[in-house]
Amino acid sequence: MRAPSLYVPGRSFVHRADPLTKAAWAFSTALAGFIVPDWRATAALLVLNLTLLGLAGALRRTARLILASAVLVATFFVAQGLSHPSNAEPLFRVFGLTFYREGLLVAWVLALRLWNTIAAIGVLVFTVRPQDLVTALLMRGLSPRAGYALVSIIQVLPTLSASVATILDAQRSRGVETEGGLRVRLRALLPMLAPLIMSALAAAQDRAVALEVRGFSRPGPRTILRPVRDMAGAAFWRAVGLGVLVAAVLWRALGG
Amino acid sequence: MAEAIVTVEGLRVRYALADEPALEGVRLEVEPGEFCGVTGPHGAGKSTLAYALMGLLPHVMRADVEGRVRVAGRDPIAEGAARLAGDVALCLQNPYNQISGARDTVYDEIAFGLENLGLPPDEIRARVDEALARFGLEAVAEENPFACSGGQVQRLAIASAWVMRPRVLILDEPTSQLDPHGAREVEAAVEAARRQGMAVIVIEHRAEWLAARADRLLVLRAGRPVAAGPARRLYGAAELQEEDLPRPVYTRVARRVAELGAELGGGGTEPWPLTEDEAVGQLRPVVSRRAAGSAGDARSAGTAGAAGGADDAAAARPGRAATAGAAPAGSPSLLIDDVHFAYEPGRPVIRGISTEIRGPGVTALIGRNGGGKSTLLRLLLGLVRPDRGRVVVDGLDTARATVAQVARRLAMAFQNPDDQLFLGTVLDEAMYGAKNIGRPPEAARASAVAALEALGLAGMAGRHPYDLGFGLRKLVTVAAAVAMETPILVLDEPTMAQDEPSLRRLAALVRRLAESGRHVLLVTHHMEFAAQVAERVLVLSGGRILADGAPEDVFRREDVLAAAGVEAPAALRLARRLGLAASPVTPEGLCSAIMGS
Amino acid sequence: METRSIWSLRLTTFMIALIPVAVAVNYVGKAIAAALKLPLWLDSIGTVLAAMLGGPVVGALSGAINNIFYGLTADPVSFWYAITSIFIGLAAGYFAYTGWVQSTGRAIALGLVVALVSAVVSTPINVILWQGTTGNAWGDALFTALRIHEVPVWLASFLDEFVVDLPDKVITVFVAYLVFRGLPQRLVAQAGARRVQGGR
Ligand SMILES: Nc1ncnc2c1ncn2[C@@H]1O[C@H](COP(=O)(O)OP(=O)(O)OP(=O)(O)O)[C@@H](O)[C@H]1O
Ligand SMILES: [Mg+2]
Repeated sequence: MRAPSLYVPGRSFVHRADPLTKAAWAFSTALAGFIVPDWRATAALLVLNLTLLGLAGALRRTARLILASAVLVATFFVAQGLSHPSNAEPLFRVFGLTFYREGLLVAWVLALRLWNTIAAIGVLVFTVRPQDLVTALLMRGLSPRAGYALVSIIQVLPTLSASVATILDAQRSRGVETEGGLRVRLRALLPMLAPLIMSALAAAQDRAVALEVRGFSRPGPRTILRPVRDMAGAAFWRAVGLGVLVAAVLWRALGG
Repeated sequence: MAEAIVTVEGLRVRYALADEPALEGVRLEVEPGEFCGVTGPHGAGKSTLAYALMGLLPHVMRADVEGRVRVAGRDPIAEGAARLAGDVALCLQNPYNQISGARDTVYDEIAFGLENLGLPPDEIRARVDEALARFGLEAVAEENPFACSGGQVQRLAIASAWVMRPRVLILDEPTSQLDPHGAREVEAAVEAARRQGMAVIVIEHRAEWLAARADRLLVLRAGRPVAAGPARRLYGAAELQEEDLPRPVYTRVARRVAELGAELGGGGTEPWPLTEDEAVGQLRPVVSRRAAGSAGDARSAGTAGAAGGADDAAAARPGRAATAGAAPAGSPSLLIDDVHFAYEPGRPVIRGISTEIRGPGVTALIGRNGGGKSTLLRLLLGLVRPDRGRVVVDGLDTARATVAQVARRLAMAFQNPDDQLFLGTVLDEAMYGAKNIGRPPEAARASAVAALEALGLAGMAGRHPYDLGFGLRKLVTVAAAVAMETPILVLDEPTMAQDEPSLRRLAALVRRLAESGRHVLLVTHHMEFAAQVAERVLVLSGGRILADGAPEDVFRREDVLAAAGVEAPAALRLARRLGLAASPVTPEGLCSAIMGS
Repeated sequence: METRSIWSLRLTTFMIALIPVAVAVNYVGKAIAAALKLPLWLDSIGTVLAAMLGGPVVGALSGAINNIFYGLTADPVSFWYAITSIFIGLAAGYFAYTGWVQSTGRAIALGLVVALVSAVVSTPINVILWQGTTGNAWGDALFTALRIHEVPVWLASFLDEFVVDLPDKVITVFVAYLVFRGLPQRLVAQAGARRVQGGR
């Protein structure tokens, strides 16, 4: 198995923007979607982010993520439609349950915020390799150790997933049953997980040695062989991103 | 004498939770550019020595450490590994665990250590390019390290250490997890590192490599030094036991021939030959003298015919009679009938295999990696089912049985022990499978204890498997499969990372199992071992069986071996170069062939 | 090696190497639970185990990095819940280091604590972000029923999260405990954890 990834390779304007600028934009607009007092503003942010994703050629994958959130959205409509305290105006009945207009409107707002979160952060994750994001953070003083902990998952996870199938084979050949009643399956959990974890921890011990040998713990500055450069006008674009957030906060505080 | 770059005096190490020291009284001196081999049985303290030299003790692993250690002008025990980086480097046994995980291409992986040193980017690039070239990694420079073969990854680990220009490079069993092809690649890499004037310390079991390359040897047993000194002297020292310092086939054959009264070429009997070339040089005169002699004395030539050597070796093997005759009722049987299999449609992995195993005995399955061996094993257990044809294990068609049912008839020790070990003690592991397939706990325990004993693990029954080295963990899983007492036993690479005493015990156990009515199927890259214990060899390549027969017959077929990417056993290769008519596959067979020539 | 304070931020290289393994185990644990068709998430076994081995700081870091990684590679909403993961790691690590992984009984108690912490920390997130629902059908059905009976949103949301977390976290902690108990002493010592001798 390959490491999970949402990155969609491309050369669009969005792709070429530097990771930190996109991170500032993504988190600001995601948060702003929650803060703005009017749902139409959230919808506008959503449309804006979807436009960026369209430019980046990642709309289809965004749609997939939004579909994956369908259960969560459904619970918004059911729970709020039935039980939101502001409920007053009945809209329809199904299975003897009354859905109210006010609650459904609340659910609609929540759904918009969720979708805007996905789209906003999507602008970051669909167009940036996690490695580049971490490099950008390292250049801003993130500790190399923390950076390593994040980036190495991309390498470690596939090796672990790959051994799941072999472990399954090895344990079944020793008579471990993996199909049957709930108890049988629960009992298979330990023989499956424990070898995986033990060998992974032993590997981590080895890897710690390999890191020491390679000067991982040496004090002093590091070279970054493949630096990630800020885009032209990065400061301006970051200010725009943060500006959206500030505006949302002000609107909420003064107006809404 | 040049200034030593490694000096160890009176080194004593006791791990935090141990009663006994893991290492005591160790002395060692290594000069720049030297290849120093460290060898000895499991638990001898070889890895512990490596940890001490690298500054991992007591900084990373808790231990009491006494004695004087100097490596590249540094004091590892006082300074610790982090500060030694760049002066000393250590690569551990499992190649994939040596990858930092911090970078996603081979190129960047090599650069990682240099980035940590804070070198200027231009220098980093120059050094990485040089390392790629020196270790033959240019072609995979942009690949993900984890996508490379074992041999490539181990070379990558060595390259990543080398590029930091350490003055001492320590390798702990760098070839034990690799097939012979990968091992050869690593041997070349070590040679490349050494040419630069680096001192290389290699922990290794395989005599052939050490004998051919090491300048100096340290032999350890149970934490104590048994011998130390120039390699050639130690290999010739009669008082050093084979268990402590196994000799290469060449030395063993030459010695045996000399014992039988022949006079070796190249002067006296010492030094003994350590490489194939030396062996040829010393043995060829014997062969030509014998040939000349026997031409004049027909009677002596008749006493030991050319093929006699091979037959002697074969006669020593079990099960020969049983396979030749009809299988007795209730004896092991395995039928593979026109089996085809593909993981993905259109890409067949097994392409029509038919063969049968009847009665007790030992069969070796050989062939290059990717030739379908592992898939065939999975088919035997019913872990995957044939697309066409059938696999019948002891009367049970795997397509109509659960894996657990097959497991009562066929037990398997998988290649990587770490894919199955998870219990707290060696004994629990050894009896786990036996209990699972429904044997009463008492019986399971008894067979587990017996199997552990046979493999020399009796004293470790109460220990945690992960407190043992890789080689011993491998033996634990072999014992666990043996303890299931199934009619058929499949061992995938049982000789991996084994020391000489374990190899002997393993061979004896396999033979004993065959004599007691079971059939052992070995998958192995260790041709000497296969030739020694198996009476039948199956060669698998490209999803087909290329050859099937007695080792003497199969190993003789160079075309088959070449196609399957395997080499003949050393004895046979030597016999060819000596121009012998016979095809002995074991050292014993070779000796008789030489004496009979 | 000197003994460290359990809150020390100076992590050994092994502890750092432990974090990606913890995250990977979270992933794979979840996949195995799904493959065995178990009605549980089991997606924080790695975080809990890292906490047992390396203490609260390693636990918290594993939790945080887990959600950041998950957010970057699978589900952006996961970022908001990094706080929950951090607290799971903190709680598991703190209590494990103060002797709560010495017996089966205590391990189950630790599971209850972790479930409680997880629910308590998630509740404000759920209320602020989604006005109380969690996206789990069973929990949200309970939430809706409680809300119709005018139970306050905080309590309803807490119970919504808790009924789901309770079995999941208790089993998660228990599995992590079984694995932890079976680990070789050498490894446990290297990670820095104190495991009482004979505690198995
Ligand atoms: N990190 C460790 N902590 C505690 N004990 C250890 C550690 N490493 C090794 N030992 C113990 O020290 C002794 C020597 O082991 P060591 O691994 O050095 O031997 P070895 O010669 O490398 O063996 P092998 O051939 O199996 O690799 C053994 O009893 C082993 O269990
Ligand atoms: Mg060792």
